[in-house]
Amino acid sequence: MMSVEEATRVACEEREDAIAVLTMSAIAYWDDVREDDYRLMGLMGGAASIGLGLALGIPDRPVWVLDGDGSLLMQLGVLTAVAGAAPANLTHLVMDNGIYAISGGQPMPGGCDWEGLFRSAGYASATTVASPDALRDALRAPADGPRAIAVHVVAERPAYPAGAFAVRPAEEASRVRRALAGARRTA
Amino acid sequence: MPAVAESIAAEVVLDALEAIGTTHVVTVPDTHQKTVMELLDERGAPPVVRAATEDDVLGICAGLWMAGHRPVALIQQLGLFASVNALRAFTHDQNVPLAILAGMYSRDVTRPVEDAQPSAVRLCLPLLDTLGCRYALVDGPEGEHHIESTLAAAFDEQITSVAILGAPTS
Repeated sequence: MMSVEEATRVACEEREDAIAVLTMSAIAYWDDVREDDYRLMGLMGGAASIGLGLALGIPDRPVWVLDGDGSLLMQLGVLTAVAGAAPANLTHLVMDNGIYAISGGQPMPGGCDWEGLFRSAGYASATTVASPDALRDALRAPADGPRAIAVHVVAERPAYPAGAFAVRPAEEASRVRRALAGARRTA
Repeated sequence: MPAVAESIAAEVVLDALEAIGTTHVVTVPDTHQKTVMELLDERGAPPVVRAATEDDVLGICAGLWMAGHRPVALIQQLGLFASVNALRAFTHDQNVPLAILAGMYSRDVTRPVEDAQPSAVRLCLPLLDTLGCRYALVDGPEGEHHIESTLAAAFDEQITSVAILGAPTS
């Protein structure tokens, strides 16, 4: 099994031109923050819906949501919204560690079969990976979305680097909006 | 007792959405706006995105806004209470302006909202005051122009704005 740090870094290496919507631990280890990447702090559970809006709004760009399991559980109904809207360009990763890592590693209320939940909600595809190579293969596999990847990561609180969550929420959305508008102008 | 809130036509609501350049309607259905939803389906535009909770409605709107669109959330006012954390976060922390069209579910149209028995009616406007949202309570055809101006403010002035329909649409 890999750490959330390894999983996030693999996704970051594989992203090509994908827009990343990051929340929870993934924020700490995403080394290549671009102008159109969105880091969500202070609204646990909101990453997938924001990613869905971005995916619908920019259908010609891949959108990758890197979610936490505790986070996604807070707004689990979003799976049906994603499946209903069915954006082909959306990839939804959930870091499945079974704990609330940022708040101290407390256990979640119960285990989830994330792949089963994604499938039963109606995602076009869902898979589970537990190693960096398997994650890389899953991300490289051509597939129309919405696709989901449940990433089994070790159930321990990472030693987050200093400043890992030094995000200014007030600037994130406006920066992304400007970057995407600029990309449209130059297209 | 005479009504203090009267219906406005669904066509008026959709015309307002069209006038402000609405690109998407994102919704958890609203009882008061049943005829609006029916007319939206009939016209086929703007596209409707359906969600299970109002938190998700606001998140989808935020993503669409970042992508350069002009989405409107169509919900009932109970959803404002249900999504208060998302409303707070987008409006204040994330600086994402939201345009929201909400029906005043369970409102007795013979009474002013401040005298309403249901807390979801009586406390709705104070909630929006607390959250610093702009709003207009549209209690009939005389105020229907507020729908367009209120929703437009979200995009033109970058402030979360809520148009509340005080009676079911016709």
